[in-house]
Amino acid sequence: MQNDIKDLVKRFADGDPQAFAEIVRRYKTEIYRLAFRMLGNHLDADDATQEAFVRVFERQREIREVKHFPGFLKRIAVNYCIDMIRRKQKKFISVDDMSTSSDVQAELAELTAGPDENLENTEITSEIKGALEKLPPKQRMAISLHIEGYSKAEIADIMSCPQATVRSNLHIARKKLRKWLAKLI
Amino acid sequence: MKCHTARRYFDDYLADRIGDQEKKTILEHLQECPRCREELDADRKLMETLRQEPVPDPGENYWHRLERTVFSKTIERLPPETAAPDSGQEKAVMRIYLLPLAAAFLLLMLSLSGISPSLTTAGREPIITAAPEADRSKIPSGICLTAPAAPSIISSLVTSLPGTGGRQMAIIDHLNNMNSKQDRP
Repeated sequence: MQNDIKDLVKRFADGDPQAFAEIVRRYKTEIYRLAFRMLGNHLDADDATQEAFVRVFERQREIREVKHFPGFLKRIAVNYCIDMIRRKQKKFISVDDMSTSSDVQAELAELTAGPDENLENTEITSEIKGALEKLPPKQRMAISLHIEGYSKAEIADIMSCPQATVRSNLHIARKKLRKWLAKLI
Repeated sequence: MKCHTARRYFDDYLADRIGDQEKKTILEHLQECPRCREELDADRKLMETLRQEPVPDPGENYWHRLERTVFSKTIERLPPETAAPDSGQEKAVMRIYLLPLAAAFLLLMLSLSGISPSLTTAGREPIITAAPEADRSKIPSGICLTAPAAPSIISSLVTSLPGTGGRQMAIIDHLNNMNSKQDRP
């Protein structure tokens, strides 16, 4: 698998368009999930996913130097998500505005639950989203990656920081979330 | 094991990412420390709550659309020289049409500014001459060039025109002939 990725990345660095298509196909779900966890809505997650791949494509020349491609790709995606969060925090866009603007998200919610369940789910979703959005970007990033099942070592690689920093970010984030989501826990 | 050390392993313990020996040590500590048991339990519940909020699958159509959008965005952002596959042809077209036009324009400007030969004035020498400086100085009167660099400028303009050296020489001859005709009484 590791060699397979290396070969794929080498082909991409050599300018093989098929290799780039394969990279997009292989990592799109993972990047989308990560972006959705961090941004909390489909539209932004879609934007971040597209941008992550386009940015990787733009850095085709330096890709040969990259030691761990999946981490590199996720770092680009996550950094873009952080930029988006910061931009949104500056603009004071409300959670409701972001979530209701996505048709896809609304369709998905209707398909997966009945009306009563929908209402309850929406409330829980809104509580969780609200709590996550209150976190500073780095803590939000660490906890989002943690929710997605990444290990501390992987999170440290993606965030380009020591594991101790990840541990501290996770600890503070969890403490805050436990307080804010007390009635759900 | 102290509480502080035990809590550092809680994430890995919950994610089942620790070795048997460490697991055993943590379990021993948990048995004798109710505060750490509480802490671990709260962490577990928080993570369950956060993970119960699934990332929706946007559907097959979305994934296809995403791939297409990424590819079209990469094309949009390509640098201009690589964006158009026929950019070489465009350059050739520019050379064929624009350079002669530019040369003609410059000739006109030179003529207007007075450094070009005035073909109507009697006694002028041919404007474009390969004669060395020493020979030119022997020409008694009617020297048309008021700027010494003019012949070389015009020659270089003509030689920059597309075509063979023969064609360029023909243009130079033609200009010379025109000038000679004008000089005749």
